[in-house]
Amino acid sequence: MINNKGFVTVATIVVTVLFLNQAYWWMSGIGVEQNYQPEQPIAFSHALHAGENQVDCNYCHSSARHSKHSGIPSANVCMNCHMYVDGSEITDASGNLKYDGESSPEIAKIYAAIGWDGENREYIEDYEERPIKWVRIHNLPDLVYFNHSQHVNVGKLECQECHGPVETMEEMYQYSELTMGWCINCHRETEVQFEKNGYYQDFHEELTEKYHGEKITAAKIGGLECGKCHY
Amino acid sequence: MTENNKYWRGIEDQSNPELSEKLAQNEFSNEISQADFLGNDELAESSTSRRDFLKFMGFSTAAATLAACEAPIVESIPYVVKPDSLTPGIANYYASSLYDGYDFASVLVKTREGRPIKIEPNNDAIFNGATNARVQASVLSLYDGARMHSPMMDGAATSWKEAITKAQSLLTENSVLLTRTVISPALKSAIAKLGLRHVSVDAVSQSNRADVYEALTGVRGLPTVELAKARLVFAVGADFLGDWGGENLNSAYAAARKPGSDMLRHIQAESGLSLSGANADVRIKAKVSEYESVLAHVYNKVANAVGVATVSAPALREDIKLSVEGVANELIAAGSGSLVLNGLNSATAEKLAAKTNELLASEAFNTSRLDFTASGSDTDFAALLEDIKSGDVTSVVTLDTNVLHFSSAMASLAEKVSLVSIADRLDETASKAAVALPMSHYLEAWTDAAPASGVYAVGQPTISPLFDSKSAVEIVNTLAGGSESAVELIKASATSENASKAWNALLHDGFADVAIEEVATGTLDMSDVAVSAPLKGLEFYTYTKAGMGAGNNANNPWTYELPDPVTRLSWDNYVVMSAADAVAYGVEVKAQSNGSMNGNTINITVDGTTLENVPVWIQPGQTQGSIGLAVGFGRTEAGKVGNNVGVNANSLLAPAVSYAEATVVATEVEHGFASVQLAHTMMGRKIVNEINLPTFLSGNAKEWNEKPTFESYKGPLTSFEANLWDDQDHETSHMWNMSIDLNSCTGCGACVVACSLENNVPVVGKDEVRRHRDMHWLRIDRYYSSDMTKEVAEEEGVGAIEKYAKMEVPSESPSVVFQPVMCQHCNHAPCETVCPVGATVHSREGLNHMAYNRCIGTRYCANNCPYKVRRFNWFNYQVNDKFTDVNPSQDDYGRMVLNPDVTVRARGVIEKCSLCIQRIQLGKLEAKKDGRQLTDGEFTTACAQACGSGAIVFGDVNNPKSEVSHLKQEERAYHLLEEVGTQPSIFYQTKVRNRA
Repeated sequence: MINNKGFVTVATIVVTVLFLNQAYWWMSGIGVEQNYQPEQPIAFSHALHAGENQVDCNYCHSSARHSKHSGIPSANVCMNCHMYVDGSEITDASGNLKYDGESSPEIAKIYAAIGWDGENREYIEDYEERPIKWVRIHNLPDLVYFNHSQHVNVGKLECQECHGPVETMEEMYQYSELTMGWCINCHRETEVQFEKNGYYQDFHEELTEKYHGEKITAAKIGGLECGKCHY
Repeated sequence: MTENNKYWRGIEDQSNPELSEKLAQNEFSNEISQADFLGNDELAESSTSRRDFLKFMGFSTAAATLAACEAPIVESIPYVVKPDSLTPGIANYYASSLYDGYDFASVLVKTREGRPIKIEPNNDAIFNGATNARVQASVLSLYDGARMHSPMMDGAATSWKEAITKAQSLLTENSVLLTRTVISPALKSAIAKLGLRHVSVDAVSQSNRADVYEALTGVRGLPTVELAKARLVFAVGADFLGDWGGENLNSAYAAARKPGSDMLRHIQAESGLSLSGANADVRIKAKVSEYESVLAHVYNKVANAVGVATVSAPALREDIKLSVEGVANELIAAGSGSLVLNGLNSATAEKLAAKTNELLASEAFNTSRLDFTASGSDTDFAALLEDIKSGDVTSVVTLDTNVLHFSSAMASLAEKVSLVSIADRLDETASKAAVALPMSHYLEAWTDAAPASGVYAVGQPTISPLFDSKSAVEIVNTLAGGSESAVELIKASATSENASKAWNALLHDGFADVAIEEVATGTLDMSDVAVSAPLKGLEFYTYTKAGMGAGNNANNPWTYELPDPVTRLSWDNYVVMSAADAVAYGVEVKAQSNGSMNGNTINITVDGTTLENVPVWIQPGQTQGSIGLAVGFGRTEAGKVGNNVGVNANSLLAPAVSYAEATVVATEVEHGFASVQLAHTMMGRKIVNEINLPTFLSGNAKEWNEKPTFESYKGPLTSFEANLWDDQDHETSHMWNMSIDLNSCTGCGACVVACSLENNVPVVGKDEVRRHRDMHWLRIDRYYSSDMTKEVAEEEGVGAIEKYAKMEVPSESPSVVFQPVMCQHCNHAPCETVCPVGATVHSREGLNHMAYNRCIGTRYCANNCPYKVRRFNWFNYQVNDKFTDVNPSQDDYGRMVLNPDVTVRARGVIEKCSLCIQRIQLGKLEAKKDGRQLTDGEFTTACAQACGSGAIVFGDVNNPKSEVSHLKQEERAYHLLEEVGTQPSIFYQTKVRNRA
């Protein structure tokens, strides 16, 4: 068979094409950090906070409604609850106190950051604050402009649509690809939230007329234009 | 039959046929060994074979590639306790005010995550709410690493405590406090508390003018003007759109110059072509030494008409006599609507101007409301110099004045006194001081100001001091033994000034009005007016540039990179000389093969002092026999950007002296200019459409603003109707347009700097500007009129070649027009069709988008752009060593000024004006979040916001209520190069000159 010129040619082509195809897919994966799950300085559980305790996402990530950044809560937000909840009541499987009545070592990290004296239940005066160095999970390249408030507030998207079932995640990871194709796809499929938004009052009718009752997606109002995200 | 002719390939073949033959036979003539060829002996000894080399290279490339695939770990550090007012990603604005001894402005400071990143005008302010190029650029001076990092004593860093103790030990009753003009009431009371003799002197002096009003009203200051009440302004050497006084008159000027029957007429008499002169309807070329006689002649004519005594004045040059008399007649006719302004630092000239206004009962000239921003006293300073000479003064405390730079007399006496300097950097003065105390930048400091009668302003810090510096008022107070903090001092001052607002309201607004103190108005004493005779020989004078001003931002790259509005040169100062003088002194300016300009240099001698190798720029409109040089340059201790740029004009002429006789010798040394414009005339094309007022009032707009048409089977079509394309839907939702009123644009350059700040436009330095690689997204083209026009050619029967050759030459007394040009956002964009990768595409909102990450740098788009507005990143300006000295993004401080909403572009991509799309997107988002419709003027572009004269209007033309949609219907509106059919989203308004 090795002397069969036709076979060798075809085999070479097939191998080359397969190789190039694999190389293409491998290379398009560069920089895509789906499932990225770095170790964080505090073993914070979204499953406990957002899932079990039903804390609203916006309670901690309050700037997601107002700003381009969703914001990592500052330690004083944690203290709203953890001033009272210090983890000392946590029990292990057999029902014994896990930390011998001391505060949980993870929660103690917040106290160390902000300077909370758990014994006397007061803030330590003139304490030199030690900011918590979280590791950022969702990284977009600098050449993209992304605004949380646009999607959360105007687009009325649930956080989970991009971030996945956060309320079940013991440890946070990147759920979506965060590639341009992924963004674009969503813009093609997602309908614009015209309802009750005075901004769209005038052109909603114009657009309805223009598209003859088709559903009006973000793409149809310019959501695919380069300059909407790249500037 | 063919003949065997011998053809020579070139002259060298014929001259040496043997050699040519030999070379032709032997293509690779000499055997050059590889080692010789590579020029490195070590290579020959290396054991690395070519094969090994390739292996190594392959491995390192693969390793680098794999390493690059690993995403870096990004830390995200939130606040421990987040300030309530601050949300990451949302800008906060604070009202503040700036005064640096030259510029006063009420401003809004935009901060992001606690960093000031942009200065915006405070449109509500009652005095100087507008910004100019220097005020816009001032934010970068905050992040200047060359500022003093701590108090310095004998060249070494020290603590505040020690420095203050040492400084106090140097203060005796023979000490003097030397400052620039002080307008801060808080600083004044701290100075009073210090109890030293106080002398103030300005780098750009208006002292003799202020003397006149001090004698007249008892208060030292300069008159203010209300251009709205004037119909005719005659300015003699007064660049009132530039440096004439502290008052920013751009917006009032633009408002008064709206075309119509009551349009303000402006006549300027001046030596060098200033911004005001460039905007004037009529310009008279007079030497600086002739200003007094010009004013005297006008005064005499007016005095005769009113019937009061005249003054004796030397005769005027024949060629300007008639025009000056004509002006006088016009002034008399305009009566109380006339206004005469003097710009010469001379009591005689100022009295003549003020008295002329008084005789004409000018309503616009206001001596009861004074401007205090330039009220230093040259007389006091001269007395101080005498006292230092005689030994009566032993120590001098300088406060925010670089006196050793602008006063060579003081520099020569510096050894005789011990110096204590309160300054922002170890400049020419502070570096000589025994103790140097670092003064905070205005964005880190508490300040207050009383810049004009009835106005009180405060400045608040928008960031903690970057270095170990303090507010000036606190330093002086500490020297005086006080212990109050800066904010306490300012608060106390605000109370005692009776500001009409409570403290919080005052901080919110940045200014307040206070009761105007009634000033006793005396009568001008004309008995001591002695008009000096014009200089017969060559005169030398100093002037200020729009970017540099008095030189307070001398280490700020934006002030250098901004081309001078008139000469269009950046990164330099130079002598401006008329073409006739240039011929007489044998100097030239020539274009080089790479498109840059080189010129000759001269040695200038004034009063025995010689300044060597000063470059000469031949300036149309310059008065013959008069040469000028800009101040603020020639620094040696400013920092890495400003050191050794240009020459120090004040080394020849002290600020107190307006002009002097000079001798000039051309030298052999050539100088390279960084010129951004090579074509100086419009060659008869409609680039700037300009008409005279009578044409506008009575002419037919179809004639004076003719729209190009195209012949078609449907008949003649306009460029908007003749269409081969499928158009985007521009009717639904927004359609952004911009109107630029060429009648209002004064060419000041504020928009250019504002654009650079907003859009992270890199600074490239002189060498790159010389290669025409300047990166400004917005440029202000300046065109001169030419003596040759198509009409003149027809009349005189000039041939086509000669006609066009002559049309390239600017007139010796040209009219000047300015035209801001940025990306025109063509709806039929030539750039979009040629981009091979679709990196530049159109949006349905009328914008031409540029996706940097798609661009592969073919530059087809730049070549195909008829407006030449696309800029190519030739380098990574943020990291390349070549730009370390000029690009602010190369150090950790300078990087803080970058706008986080705009990408910093990398090498190899094209960039251009985006019409501030980040602002459009943010504005729309805010409206969407609030669930309301956009209101016109809610947001605007950086250039439009910075424009003090309101020449640039941005908005949505699909909103019938918007200003820009009305402007689009104006009969003055036209598109640039409309005949090429690009259908731009930017349009211009015809310039109208108020002359027959």
